[in-house]
Amino acid sequence: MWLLSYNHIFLNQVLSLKSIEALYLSSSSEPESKSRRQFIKYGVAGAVGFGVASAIEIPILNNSLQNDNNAIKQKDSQISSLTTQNNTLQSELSNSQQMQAFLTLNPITERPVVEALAEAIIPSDSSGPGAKEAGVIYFIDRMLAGSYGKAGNMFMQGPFIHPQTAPITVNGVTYSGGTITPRLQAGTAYQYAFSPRTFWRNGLMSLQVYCNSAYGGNFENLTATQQTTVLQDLFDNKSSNSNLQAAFQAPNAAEFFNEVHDMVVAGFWSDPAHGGNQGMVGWKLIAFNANYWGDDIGLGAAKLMLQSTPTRLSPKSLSDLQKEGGGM
Amino acid sequence: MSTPIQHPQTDVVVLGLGHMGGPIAAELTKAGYNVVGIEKGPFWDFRTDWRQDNKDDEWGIAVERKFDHPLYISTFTIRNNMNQFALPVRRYTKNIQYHALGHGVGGVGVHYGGGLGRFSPWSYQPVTMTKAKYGDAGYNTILSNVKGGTPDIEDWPVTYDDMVPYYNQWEQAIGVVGTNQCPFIPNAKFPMPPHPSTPYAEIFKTAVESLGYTPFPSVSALISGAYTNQYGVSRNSCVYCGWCGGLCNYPCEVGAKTSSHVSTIPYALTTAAGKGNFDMRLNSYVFRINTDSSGKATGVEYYDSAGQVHAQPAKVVFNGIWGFNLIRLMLLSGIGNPYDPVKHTGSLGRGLTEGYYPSTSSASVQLSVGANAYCSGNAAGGGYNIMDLNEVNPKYNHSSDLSFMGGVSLGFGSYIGSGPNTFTTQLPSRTNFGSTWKASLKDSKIPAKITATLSGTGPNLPLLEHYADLDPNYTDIYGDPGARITIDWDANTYRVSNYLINGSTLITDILAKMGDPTTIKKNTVQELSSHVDWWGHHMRGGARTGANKNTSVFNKYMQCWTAENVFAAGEICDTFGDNLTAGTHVAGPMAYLAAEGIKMYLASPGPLVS
Repeated sequence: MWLLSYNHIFLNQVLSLKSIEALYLSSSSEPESKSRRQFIKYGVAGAVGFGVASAIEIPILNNSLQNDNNAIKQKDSQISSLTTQNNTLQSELSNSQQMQAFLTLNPITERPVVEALAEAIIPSDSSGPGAKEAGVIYFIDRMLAGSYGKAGNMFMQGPFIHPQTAPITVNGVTYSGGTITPRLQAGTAYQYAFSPRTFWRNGLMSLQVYCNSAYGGNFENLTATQQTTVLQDLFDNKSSNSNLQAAFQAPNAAEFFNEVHDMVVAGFWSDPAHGGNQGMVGWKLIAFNANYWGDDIGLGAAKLMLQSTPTRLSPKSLSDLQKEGGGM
Repeated sequence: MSTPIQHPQTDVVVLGLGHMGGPIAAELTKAGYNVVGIEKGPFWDFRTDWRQDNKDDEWGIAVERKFDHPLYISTFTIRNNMNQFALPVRRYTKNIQYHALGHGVGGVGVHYGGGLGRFSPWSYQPVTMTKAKYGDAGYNTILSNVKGGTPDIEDWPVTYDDMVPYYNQWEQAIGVVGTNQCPFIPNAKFPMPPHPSTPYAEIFKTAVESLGYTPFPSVSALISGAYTNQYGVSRNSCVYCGWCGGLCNYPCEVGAKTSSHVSTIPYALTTAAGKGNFDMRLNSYVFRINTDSSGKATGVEYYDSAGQVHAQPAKVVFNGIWGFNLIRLMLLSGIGNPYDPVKHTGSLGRGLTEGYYPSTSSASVQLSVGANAYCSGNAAGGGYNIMDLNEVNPKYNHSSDLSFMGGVSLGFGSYIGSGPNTFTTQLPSRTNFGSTWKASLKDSKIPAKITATLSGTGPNLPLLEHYADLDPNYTDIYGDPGARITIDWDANTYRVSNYLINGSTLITDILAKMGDPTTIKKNTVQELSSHVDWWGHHMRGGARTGANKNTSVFNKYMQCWTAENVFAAGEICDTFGDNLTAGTHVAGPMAYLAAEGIKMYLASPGPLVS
């Protein structure tokens, strides 16, 4: 099943590295393929100029010269506007491409599926750029290669007792009440002897086993509708879903979905210094602006939070603050 | 174990240089005593460590917790009852807050929200004042209705009036902000004026005034202007940057949010150290209080950052360590009488409650104004509170429903300032992903009209079934047993909120005055519908101060009943916690009371209470 993935990731690399023309040629040669769909999604979302150009097509010109001229003028104007937009986007794309190297994610078995998971959770769509443009996969890769992935700040002493309601005997003592049943988000929920890096490795493999057994293909090759259903299956983690239970052991499906969702969300909204949220696209979506002090925006101290009609401000990253000399 | 490095005896050794240790270090050095302060973590210099370009980092702080206690050093285990195996907290996660410990001078005060407020006279005397209000029979009815365990409630050994002078000293030291017009918490004179109020706070204020209540500006530890305290330590005003953390994550880069590192320790480090009577040992981990054959402490032993053991003899040991670790160190050192949860004897570990609370019933209404939910941390203030719906108000009378005790300090209108909080509350669900969800987030933090939600949360009651002890299965990094807590929610806090939301119209009357009554919505939460699965910052009891030496660990001067030269302070020493405020404000005066006790003891050693 990895052959499909290999083809896909090759095209993905091309998408990331080559010119717009090359992208178009390579993807147009297989118009119905998954990579073609991805290319269109990527383009329409605004990160690549050509994708945007489809918006200026004028379907019918009549025989009137005047109308032709008007249409041409209108088209020129649109092209001019789109050229400006394209230059901006190219510039942002160039900035975002500063981080292309992967540190830990396996190029064949992990990158395509992590990328597809991130895009399914935060798609590029009419509300703006998504996980793809934000480079969420780079965030996840860096975190898995670092302290997070290596359990750097975790308490990793045994015994490792998975949360359970059944009676359990540990070190000769029987506990008839089992353990607490922590929420997935609690620090008591993770009771594995292995690191989050292994958690992800196991979870991704289980996901592919499940997608192949239940839907006939790798997660990244399923339709958007199927991907949504798969994510809901993971969240539900029904004991009656035998394919799911056979595929997932440690972590279980709900734990895995929780972790993936956590990290995709974190990668979309953390500071760009950590590899995701490139071009601050995550912050732009939600009008995040908190690192402007009351005084900095010219309203005077304490005024911003006294507004009853909030204004939309643009954000600053750690990099911006450092360029300004620390922001102090 | 290597031979300890022996240090000369000092008058007072202070364990932990946070909110509690700071006042002790300042007061005892000021009085001319020699003080050694031992702190597990580093000294953070807010001007450099927390400069904005290092600090405005949500991932690094809220998840990686780069300025907080590393869990690989030590953690705690949690279970809801004695029949369960207690699970260790293995990591910090982004979605559940309030559980990072402090690490360094300033302690938890480095990253706490800074929301303050005094306990009311009722919170100090819940038994006496509840009996006075509902009669002995009424009080017994309340106790008989407690669900989840057997109540173990006591009055504090001090009254609110006794504590007023110590509140004043503490508030002056840290620069508390507010204008206490609350008639039920008398004699409060906060040294700093409140922060400007928000438009939606004014809506709340007008609404509650029209109902005859007395609103007062919310109390905060974030100073509203330049300030110099009684030790001559000066600080900058809050700049309303938004990064102080409604979720209790972020240190303050201008020093406006107070803990010991910007209020008391700087005095000890400059004025007192100039006289040579303050010595600060950083990155040092105390593992024992040593005792002699009479049970008195002789000093402490600690590891330095290289693992070398040091011995520090002292005339007095002040235990200012956070929460369960205060209990744990005493259990490891054989000081105090450990609580026996079967026979209900002993006091150390007994009476543990959680100052935080589960999700309870609430009601909401839509207001006509909008707000920017990013700017300024909510702990700065900007809102109003009322204490009219609290047990301390004689007119608040729920004799029609004696299934609970206590009421609420109802507040609204503080700067929404959820911290940056751009991702920490986005939980996975069947629908929280994909285009529809993403579109719903767009500009959701800058709504044109905000929804006002009010809920009530009464106190969690101390029960005989809830306690702290040493864990039999897990140790800290040095091999000593960690702390285990056995705790769960009781029904009381749910019932307070249910009474306020459903059993009366007290909350909906306010909401109807605040916004369009047709938009009022109630959310009813069933009691005991969730369980404790993490620890909160505001753990209380467990090492209580009290009048009864059989059920408390410390007397009213915060002197240990069984070791006369061991003193302590902290929320964990509360006799009765009340979650009408974060308990930090209540613990501070306790440290000033302990400072007085220590001075009395050093002048004339012996038990201060017979």
